[in-house]
Amino acid sequence: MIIKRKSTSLILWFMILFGISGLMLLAFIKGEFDPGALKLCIGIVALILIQYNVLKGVFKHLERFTLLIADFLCVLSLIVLYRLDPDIAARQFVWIVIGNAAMVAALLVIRKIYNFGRANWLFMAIMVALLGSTLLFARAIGGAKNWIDIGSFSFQPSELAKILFIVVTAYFLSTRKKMRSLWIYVIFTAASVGLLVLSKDLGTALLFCGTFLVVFYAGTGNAWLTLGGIGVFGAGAVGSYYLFSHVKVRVDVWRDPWSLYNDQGYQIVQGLMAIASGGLLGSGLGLGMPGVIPAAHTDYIFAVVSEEFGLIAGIMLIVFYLVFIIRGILIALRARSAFDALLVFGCTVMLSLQSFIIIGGVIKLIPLTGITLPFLSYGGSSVLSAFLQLGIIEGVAIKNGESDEAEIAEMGGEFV
Amino acid sequence: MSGSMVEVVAYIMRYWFVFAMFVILVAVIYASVSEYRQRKYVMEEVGQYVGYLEIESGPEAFIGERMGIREENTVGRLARSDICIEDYSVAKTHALLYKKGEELFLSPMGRAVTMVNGKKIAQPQILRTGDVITLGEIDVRVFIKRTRLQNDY
Repeated sequence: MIIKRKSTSLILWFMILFGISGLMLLAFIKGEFDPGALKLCIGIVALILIQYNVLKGVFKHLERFTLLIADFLCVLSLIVLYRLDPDIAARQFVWIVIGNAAMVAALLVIRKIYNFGRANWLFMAIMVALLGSTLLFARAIGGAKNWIDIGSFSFQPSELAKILFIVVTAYFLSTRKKMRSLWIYVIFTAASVGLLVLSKDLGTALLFCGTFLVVFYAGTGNAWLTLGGIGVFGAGAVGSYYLFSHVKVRVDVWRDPWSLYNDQGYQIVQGLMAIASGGLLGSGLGLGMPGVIPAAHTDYIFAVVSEEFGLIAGIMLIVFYLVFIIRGILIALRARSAFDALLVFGCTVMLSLQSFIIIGGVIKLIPLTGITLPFLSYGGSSVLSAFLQLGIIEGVAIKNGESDEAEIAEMGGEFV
Repeated sequence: MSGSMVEVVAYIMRYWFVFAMFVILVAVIYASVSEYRQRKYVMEEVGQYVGYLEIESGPEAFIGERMGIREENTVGRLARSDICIEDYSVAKTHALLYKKGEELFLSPMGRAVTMVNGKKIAQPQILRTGDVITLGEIDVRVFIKRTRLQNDY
């Protein structure tokens, strides 16, 4: 009874080659050599090699595949962002480094902690304060009012609220077995979603609703209440269509973007045309015209990848997210306590819904709501929250691995 | 390098990018699936055992051998026994080893001599980790797993 793990060096080397070739091509694309690309290339290769090997060495039971997928998405993100704007790519690299530090911190905390107990009330208060402050002080970027400026530094409080929401959800659903003791949590969720809708941050509101419904069903197994929740959610969606003009505009644009081409439909149409002009294999890195899409470096990064690397690459990107989700769910299933399981499940559902909502919006499958694609889009708070969620997943995976190893060792087996 | 030359290179490198992404994807899926299967197999194998017996004294070839204990086992010389000890001092069906509630019991069968910690037993006897069972001329030590009990579910 020996568990022997596969080597992942092939994946790591191909990832590094992918990054080097992409950034070097971009360094020469403008005619003369660009030293910025070389610096970025050295930075990301060193970061990945150090991060992966150190974490693997320190934590024997590290979940390596989710980490590798996240690393690959970061490499792809840097290539695409460098192609769009070198300054943005450099800032994204700094955020990835900070994100890695945050991931290690989250991993260490989750590994040691059972559940946060009374601190959850504090988390709930912080969350309501964060979302309330966006409503009061926030600055609007692209319709949604979700940015807060502190000096020259601006951040999105809803990204931090996501992590707190996952922790609070896992705590309530794992400790309260009776429906009656959950009402305060349900009211809290409704209040948070209401605050998000009021600040016009529809994508995040949708994300919170979806995560709540899925994790609630997974945690309680109560189909009727979940169906009721879906009913309330649907009624709320239909109601907001008639109540708020910005929701109505989004849906109308989604139904027929071409008739509103010069107006609100411009972004969707440009995105669709970019994907179409790329074709199966893409236009070639640096040869497309992604600059014409509004918000190409954040919400519409999927369209840029599809244009320059091809539709095949776009589909593979979706499969990467799927593998990430499946690994996350497997970790949740193997977790030893209900809190751990719901925590990992919450993170996985949050990340998967986030990627589904924005990719679906870009390819005009569902109405477009502006949120970022995890690990790929530019954005400090977005990268930070994605890495924090990855850290939570890794922390529980390490816990699982340690319990598994103890169980195997007791029967005289080995975990290599 | 001239501008058009770089464009040709960029156009050709489309294939490399798609190929590299494909290799990474397939390698990730292959490695994670095979690791998952192996881990599932081993954990199921480990999960079905309550503990194990380790042979402490007897013929030289047997010493140190470990045999997993399931929920219900027959102990004896016959090859179809759940726990098979191929020594002539052990009867064909020597004893029964079974779990009832949270306790593991040993019950002797027929006239075979079965001892626990040096005392001959006639009735089913509760076993603890570290007990030595004597079957004929062979001593085995009992180990009962603890880890299962610590988990929430």
